[in-house]
Amino acid sequence: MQLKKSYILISAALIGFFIVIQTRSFEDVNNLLLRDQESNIFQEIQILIDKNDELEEEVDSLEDTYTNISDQNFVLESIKEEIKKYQNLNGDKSIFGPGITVKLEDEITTPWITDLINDFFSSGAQAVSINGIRITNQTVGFDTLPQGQILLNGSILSAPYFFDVIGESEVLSEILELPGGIFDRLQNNFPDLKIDVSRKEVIQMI
Amino acid sequence: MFIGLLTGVLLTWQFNTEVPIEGNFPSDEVETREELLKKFVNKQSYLQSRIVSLRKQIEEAQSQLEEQTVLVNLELLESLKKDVGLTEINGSGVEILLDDSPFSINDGIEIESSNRIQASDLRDIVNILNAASSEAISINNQRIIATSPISSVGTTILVNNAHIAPPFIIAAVGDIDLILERLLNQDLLAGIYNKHENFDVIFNIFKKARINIPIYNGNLKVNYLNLVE
Repeated sequence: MQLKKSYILISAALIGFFIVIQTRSFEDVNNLLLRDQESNIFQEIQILIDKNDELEEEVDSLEDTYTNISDQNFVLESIKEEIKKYQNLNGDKSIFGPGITVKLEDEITTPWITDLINDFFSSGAQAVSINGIRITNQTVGFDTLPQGQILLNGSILSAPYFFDVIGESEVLSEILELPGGIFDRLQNNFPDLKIDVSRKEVIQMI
Repeated sequence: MFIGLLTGVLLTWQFNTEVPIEGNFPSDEVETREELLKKFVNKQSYLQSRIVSLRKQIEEAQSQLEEQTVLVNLELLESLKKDVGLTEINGSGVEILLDDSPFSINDGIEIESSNRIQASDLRDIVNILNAASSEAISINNQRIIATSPISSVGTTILVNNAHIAPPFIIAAVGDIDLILERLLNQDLLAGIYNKHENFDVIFNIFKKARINIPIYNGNLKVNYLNLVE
């Protein structure tokens, strides 16, 4: 009877042992079947490092692109400014600016007109016109017709002569009116010549 | 029976339980790990926002570039440069040699201004060449443009505010026959012909099959000029 009890006890203990082993093995299988990995700090950091490296490469590439486009913009801006500058000079477009107007009431000769225009430019004029015709590289020179008339760009010029001169008006009038200056010389050669000079805030040339 | 079963379960559970090793996770390790992760995540956020910001800047710069490309016309620029004298001009034309009379200096002293070439002589010739529709003109390799002053200070002649000295070579590219017709008209250049005949000033004209006129090398100021838009 005592021996039988012992067998029953041992058998029950063995059954308990197997039950626990079986339960644990189910837990392991469940762990294997989980969809998400358990937390791993090293892996997480490695992924972040890799991702950040990729982002840094992208930032570098975008910065290069931006610098390149900015340089091109700078070049295009300079070209645009250059075009505007030459458009101011070539005479195809209307311009305006401060300056002086000079009116000569009587006839003078072609050499004196070329001398006067030369003195306007040497006194700092940036644009000059005579009787509405702007002097540019496209303007042909002054011609003298057999009767002494002055021809410019196919137009006969006659007195009174109106000169529009764009530049710093104060400097222009001071230089031109200097004793021995062009106005003085003109007056000496044409004693009856009336010269009117006015400073203007805005002069427009077409 | 129940006691045996319970004993087996308890014993086996006890033996199969892994006891965490003491000290493997110090109390501040979780905190350190969080900080480390936060650092990397923050950097990632910064990089991502930098990418967004750069892409916006690139987009703006590209649209500016497109706008300016529409406005920039390189052919127009070249044409304007030619108009204002900033391109070399080659072609057939004439060369004019002007020089003071050999008698203008006696024992190192200048004796007579009429024996010398003056700025006004150069201006007269340049005007005649312009009137003959010359394509480009230079004096001693100084390109003459509409705004080029030809002046004198004492006996020194300035072209584009640069000193030039005799002999003067005035070169012009253009229609040779038309230019010669004007230059040979003594009424148009009475002053020079008079100096040439009476005071031995040198005045020679040469036809040239090929002349090179350099670009204008002075400044082009436009600070008082404004385009009427």
